[in-house]
Amino acid sequence: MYLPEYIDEPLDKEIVQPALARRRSYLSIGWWRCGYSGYILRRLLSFIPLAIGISIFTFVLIRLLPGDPAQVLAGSTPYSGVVEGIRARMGLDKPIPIQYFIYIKNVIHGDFGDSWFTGKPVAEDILARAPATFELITFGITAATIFGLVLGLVGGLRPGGLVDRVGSIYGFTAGALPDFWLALLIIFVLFHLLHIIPPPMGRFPLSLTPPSTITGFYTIDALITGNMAALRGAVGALVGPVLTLGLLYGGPIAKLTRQTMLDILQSDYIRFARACGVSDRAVATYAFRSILPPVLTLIGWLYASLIGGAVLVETVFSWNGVGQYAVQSIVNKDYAPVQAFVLVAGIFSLSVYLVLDLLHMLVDPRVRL
Amino acid sequence: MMSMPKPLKYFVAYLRTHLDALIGLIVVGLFLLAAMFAQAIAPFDPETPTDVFRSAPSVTHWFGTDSSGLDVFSRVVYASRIDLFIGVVGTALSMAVGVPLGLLVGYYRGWPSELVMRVSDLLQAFPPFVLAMALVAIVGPQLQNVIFVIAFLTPPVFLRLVRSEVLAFRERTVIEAARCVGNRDYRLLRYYFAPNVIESALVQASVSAGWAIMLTAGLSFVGAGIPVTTPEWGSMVGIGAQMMMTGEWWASFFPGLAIAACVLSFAAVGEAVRILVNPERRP
Repeated sequence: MYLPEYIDEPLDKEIVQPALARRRSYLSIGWWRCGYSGYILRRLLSFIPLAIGISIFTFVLIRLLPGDPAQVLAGSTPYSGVVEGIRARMGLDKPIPIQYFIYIKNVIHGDFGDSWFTGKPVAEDILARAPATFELITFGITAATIFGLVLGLVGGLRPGGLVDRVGSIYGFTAGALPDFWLALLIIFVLFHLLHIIPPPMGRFPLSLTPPSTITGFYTIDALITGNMAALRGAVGALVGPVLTLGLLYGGPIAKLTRQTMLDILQSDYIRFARACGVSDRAVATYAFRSILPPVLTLIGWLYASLIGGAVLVETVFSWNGVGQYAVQSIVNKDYAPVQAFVLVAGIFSLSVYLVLDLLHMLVDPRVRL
Repeated sequence: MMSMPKPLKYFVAYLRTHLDALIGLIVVGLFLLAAMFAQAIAPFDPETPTDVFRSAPSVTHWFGTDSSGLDVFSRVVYASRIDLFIGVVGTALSMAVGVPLGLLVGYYRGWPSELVMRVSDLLQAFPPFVLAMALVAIVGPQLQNVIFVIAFLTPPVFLRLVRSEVLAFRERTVIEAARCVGNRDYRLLRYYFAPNVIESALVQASVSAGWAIMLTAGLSFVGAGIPVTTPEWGSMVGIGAQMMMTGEWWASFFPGLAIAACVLSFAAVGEAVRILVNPERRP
């Protein structure tokens, strides 16, 4: 390694020594406090207590239920000893902390209990319905992103214009519309008046056989297998609910895009670029690149909240997804699925937030400490 | 004009220039009137069926009748009682918990504050609608339980907001000066922090009240909130849902419109309330 023979003393004092000191202090305070890997590790570790908290909360939630589950299962006039037998088999005679550990052990093994309404294990029920929900919310958030980005970008680039005014009214109104009501209005207009969409009876026309399962998304499976009739059926069924979700969730995206765009266009570096005579088109591209991190974070956040937020839209369109399953279970007082859904949805949103934070860190170095 | 107290004068001036706030205030006023004088306004009893079923809007039935012959207009009017009550009381309770807690958590550092923050993180990790639905199902679908559930789920929003305001405000010179002249913690929080954070809390309250109404309506829509016979906007939309497929739109259109109008006007009024509370924002 090349070493200069003479080290400039002020340089050494002001730059080299502090750098070495900083390096030493990194070592002494620990590498996990600095850099990418440290941030990732800390963020991953913070996931664990929250996940445990969520599991304790869901466990307590169901323990708070009035009535003794063993007595409910045993029927109205059980033989002597039956109730005690069930209680012992379900582990209900053990102290609460032990019961919690049994619950966690079962959950880790994929056992969420049985639904008495469908008579199947809850995990099986949820897995069977998950593709429907994911197909719906994925297309829904895509539609929302398209609406929101187009309105927000045009509004932000031409403030005060027609699109901007329409967009801001839309952004304000979208947050105030009840989703189930908007879904009904869309059914009324598109199904009853215009006959564009099929009746709201699930995700596939009853007259056709669904495409063979590859991804679980009917549209994609139909595309892969080249089954055009099935594709038409699946897309037709998607139009109503996707339009509902897109209109509702596009509002906040449009609002944020417009606001960030306006802020960025006022910033020094864009004004400098303008002063240098950079074309409007290029300026818009620069600005677009800087609005992406907050907007993408919002979109991810909305996606996570949709798993619980689309339950009413699922119900209106008889979508038979996870959300509708949760609603039915609550109405039927079938608590094992409810517990499972709350737990899964909580963990799912935690994981999405985790991924969002990590992505944000990759995009924006200011986040890392 | 001169006899009016100053904040109110500015408020009126603001309303003149901001049409949305004025319309919002009028709509909120109309809903309040409807709630107070429901008996005088509603032409029919909200829970006794009339003898016409599924009648379209007409002179006798302004908003038509639903599948069991109930007059939709009368029910929409009566429902504003329940929905406004839940929105206002639920939000007031949430504020009563969230704002003081936010002041304390922002002001004092240490493990109790950390704990409170983590618990609120936890509550916010769940999808709110499903959690609300599960909680209401557990405690029983009744009016007061829906309010309790709202008062349990909403405080984290206020807590976070107030905490961040306190954190930003505590570095100001005012606070340093107030502490130097010997103010105790309680006086600092009560007379210095609270008046300065209440503005954003009140604006949030107008949004939260709308959210509470939407949540109540959603719960009742699937039959997991207020008992179905009670007039409530969400459950009315649910009753009319089947009629919507056959083109009889009125039974769910009007109650849904009431929800949207109510939530929108609450949000519009919230912005105007800033003027009343914060002298800095007056012209």
